[in-house]
Amino acid sequence: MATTFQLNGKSVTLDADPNMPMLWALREVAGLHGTKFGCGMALCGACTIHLDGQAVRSCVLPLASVANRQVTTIEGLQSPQAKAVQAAWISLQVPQCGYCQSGQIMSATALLEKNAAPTDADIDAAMSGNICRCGTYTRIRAAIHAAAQSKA
Amino acid sequence: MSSRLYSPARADRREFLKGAGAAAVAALTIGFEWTAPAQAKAAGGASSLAPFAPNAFVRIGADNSITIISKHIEMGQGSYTGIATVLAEELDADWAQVRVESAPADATRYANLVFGKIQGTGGSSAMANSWAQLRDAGAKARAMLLTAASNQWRVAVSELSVDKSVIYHTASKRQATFGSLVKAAAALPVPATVQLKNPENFTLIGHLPPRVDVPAKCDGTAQFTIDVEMPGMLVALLKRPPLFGATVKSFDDSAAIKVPGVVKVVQVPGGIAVVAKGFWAAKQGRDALQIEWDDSKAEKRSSAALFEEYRRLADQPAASARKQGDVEKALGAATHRISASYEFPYLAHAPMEPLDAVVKLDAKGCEIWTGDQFQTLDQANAAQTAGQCHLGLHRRGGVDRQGIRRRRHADQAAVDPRRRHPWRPVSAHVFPQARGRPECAGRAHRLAPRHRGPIHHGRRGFRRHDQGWD
Repeated sequence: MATTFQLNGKSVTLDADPNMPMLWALREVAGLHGTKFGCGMALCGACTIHLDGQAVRSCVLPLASVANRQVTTIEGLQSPQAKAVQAAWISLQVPQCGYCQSGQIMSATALLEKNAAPTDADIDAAMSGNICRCGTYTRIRAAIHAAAQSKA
Repeated sequence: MSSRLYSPARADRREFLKGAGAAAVAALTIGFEWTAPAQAKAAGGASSLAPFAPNAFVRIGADNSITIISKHIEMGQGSYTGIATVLAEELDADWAQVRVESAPADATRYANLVFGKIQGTGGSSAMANSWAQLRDAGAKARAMLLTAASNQWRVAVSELSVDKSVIYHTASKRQATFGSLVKAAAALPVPATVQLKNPENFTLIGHLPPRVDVPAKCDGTAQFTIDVEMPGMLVALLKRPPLFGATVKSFDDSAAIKVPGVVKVVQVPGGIAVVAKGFWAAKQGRDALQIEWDDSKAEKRSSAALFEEYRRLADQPAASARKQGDVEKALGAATHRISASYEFPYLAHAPMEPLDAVVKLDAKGCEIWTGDQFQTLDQANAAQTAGQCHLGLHRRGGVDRQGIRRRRHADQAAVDPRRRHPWRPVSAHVFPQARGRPECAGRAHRLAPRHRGPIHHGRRGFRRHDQGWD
């Protein structure tokens, strides 16, 4: 069955099992590998994407549920907030192994798109669903503040 | 382009240029290899017993790109950057032009000099064992480029200076990029000895240049094992027993095989593998398996029971690493005695990326992409398991950036011919059952007695390295 939606600003139609989680539709059908598989249970955040601007876990999001909606992945980040986040991530050298970082950046971008000047508590609340095995949390928080300041 | 490096010996180089002529970039990219031609030839075969490990660590392109080949894997600990820093320092390279490539598995050229004839990353040895080797490699490349400029301009090498991949002759106001000298430099003999820099003049070492792997990890382009894809590739997921040491008593795959996309279900030493055309089909197939496990030889103790056992063992007399003086007597006479007991749980390394490997097995050989720490041990194990394919076997370290992959050995089942679908590459995702993963990441100790993933079996006293939290 085919599902049509907006993927990174372009209309796409994916012919796949409507129950297939978006994570696999993106990785194996659309060929976008930036979104990562970690737990498959919406508990680690590695697969975070944006659905109509909201950070969601693509590993538990059925393909059918995105029909006619806007999906953004790490490959399609364009907003000024996203660019600021990515620049801060590089400038503060946030990643280590890097596997969780697509998801971290997606969550951080969604946060800044709604809250231009998040407090530490805002950041903790927005980022608590994204696990980093290397423990880069302090740099993630600093980078979100830096990105917010660069847009102020 | 092949990741093989080429000897500077003239015949080999001509062969290379001739062979690479079709591809413009390849033709202009010259490899340096610091070895005598005989050794270079021997380096092609895994059984070489050449006494000196050749150093093949840098490639400079006519486009000024500097590719540094890392014999150590990047797990997030920064080894790519550290290794590149040392070589680029002696080369006087422009850091902005430096990129790092993973070396192929080759115990001859890429041995860890601390471990002996093994290529491996561990024990905090990557920088220490590479230090002299990489400085020498960088300095010799620099010397050859300087000689090339000196020949071209007919001035003494002593009149030249180098800064950020550009060679200057101040008196005549001439300058040349490394890239423009690549062809001439490659025609020169490799100097036997070379002067290394005075550490006072270091501009990269100790100056923390930005990490080479960071930008790609911020835009989704970094490639992990799970991102390796080949035409026709199948995905295998393993259903492992819920307890260490349990085995399959019986299984029913009738529902699994009916899942659209599932190609085959096979029993392997680690459990039951479901092979499918994609992850989602394989996952659904695995969920549909009915398996009865034989727990008779399985580990059934709890964390508490294991700690009891550790405490009991700790009270037993142990082997002495060193004896000096009379400890009992000194302790008996001491006015203060301080006693402390440290207990560390049995931790899972719990990388975010599931343990996985991509295997391409065909008549020509076996290629493996994975993020293991001891490539050449895996190479040997895979050769043994893959049987008839061992002659052509080589393991690719070609996955650019690895996740934290704290495991020492590849899963042999990944190349087990019984799990192989003929002529198709298989991506084997070997990860603990879904129930365990989030726990792994957050509260690893809870998983300990039931953990199915590879972990280091440490003993009391050796735990510090084995916690995985470095």
